[in-house]
Amino acid sequence: MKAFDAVVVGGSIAGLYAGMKLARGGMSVCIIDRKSTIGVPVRCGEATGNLGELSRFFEPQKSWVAREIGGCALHINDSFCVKQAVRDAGVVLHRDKLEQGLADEAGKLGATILLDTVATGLYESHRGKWDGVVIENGGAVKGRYIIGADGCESKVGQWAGITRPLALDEVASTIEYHVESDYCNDGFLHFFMGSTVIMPGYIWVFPKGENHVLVGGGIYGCPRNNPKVKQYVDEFIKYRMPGARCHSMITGCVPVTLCPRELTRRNVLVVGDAARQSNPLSAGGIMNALEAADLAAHAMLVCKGNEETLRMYSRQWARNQRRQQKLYRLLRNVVVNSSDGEVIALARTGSRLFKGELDRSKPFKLPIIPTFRLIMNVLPKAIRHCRALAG
Amino acid sequence: MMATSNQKKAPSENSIAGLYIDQSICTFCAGCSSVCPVMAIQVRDSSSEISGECVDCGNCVAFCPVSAIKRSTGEGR
Repeated sequence: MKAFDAVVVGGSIAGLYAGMKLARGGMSVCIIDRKSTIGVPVRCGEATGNLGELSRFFEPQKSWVAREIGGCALHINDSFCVKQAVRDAGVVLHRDKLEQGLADEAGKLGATILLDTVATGLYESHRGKWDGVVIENGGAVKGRYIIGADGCESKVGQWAGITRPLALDEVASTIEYHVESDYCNDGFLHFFMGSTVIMPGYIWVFPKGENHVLVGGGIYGCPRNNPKVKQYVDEFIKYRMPGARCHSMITGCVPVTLCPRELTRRNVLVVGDAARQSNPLSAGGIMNALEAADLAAHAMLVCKGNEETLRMYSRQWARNQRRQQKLYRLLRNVVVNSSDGEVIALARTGSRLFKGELDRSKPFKLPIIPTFRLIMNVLPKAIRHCRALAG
Repeated sequence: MMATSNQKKAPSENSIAGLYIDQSICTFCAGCSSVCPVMAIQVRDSSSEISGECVDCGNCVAFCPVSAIKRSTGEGR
């Protein structure tokens, strides 16, 4: 079989975008995926950055956007709600259409896409270098570089020794229903927290279209004696949206931990959920996956076979996003270890940072007194958490 | 440590070491495979199975959002 410049394992957003960028850069690319259809099923809350942010990577099509987001609302139990309007907050996607669009574009640029193809290991030649991936039912897809974009369960990262299996406290167990209802369907992203709703995690209600919302939930860390996330979300729908019709249900796993320091080994790279690059607080990962795929593909295009240059991808990621991940992980631990009253106090102080509509396209100056109060609120818990981690 | 496999397998399911995946409930999200420390769970488009490498740690049972992974006694952990 023909040897490609790059083999991408995983035909989801990170893999497709990386494949597209590499093909545009002149590389021969083969993208393989175990699924039989690109983009289906959608295992994602589908809320992401705004069109300006997406257009850094590709030209977003109108048909990929289900709804523009008008802001966020945080509900804690039934006793507290704070809403913040945000201009250009982001969009809720039709992620299946986006991924199919990226696959079409990658195909036009010359990338080969093999569906129903399961990678079972790295193909190692006598030179001690990985020369592609072994596929189920015999044979191999050969390539000079291998990208593991195979999601949370990433086998490529583990075969190459970049990642290890996730521990239970490093993942969120998630579920989402597509519901025919107008509950909270006001264009805002609604987040529900609190001990009477779900613990430890949150339930979301995202607008998907007229009379359609996405209702999902995620539990951080999957505590062994906790009720399952499905029970929490089923209860939520039953009591808050009586009579609502659920069209579909999906489940998933999201890494809510730090990505490894090294994201490459020899000629193998990992991107997206496979590299644990999602946000440890929100569990969102679309923008992170695109950013990572962009950096990885760039490093591959300029490295000319030099492993040290390829590692530029890890360094660039560590310099920017890994630091943010640390902050979000700390915030999550502060929130998870706070009582309902403490979370309400935090949210109330946080809401005073903004007056009126927040415009993401303009620089934002934090007001001194509310910011100081928020820091004083968070700091003692953060220090306690860091001490607990150290000790 | 390998788990003992003296428990009875559920006849119609993929079952090793006392754990099996109920195919009628599984949504094939592969989350169980993400938290399996020994890569013993293979998930395909519309099937999933636990192989002989299973060490019976119970991570998959704790993770599964829809309680599709069960012990062959018929109960989750």
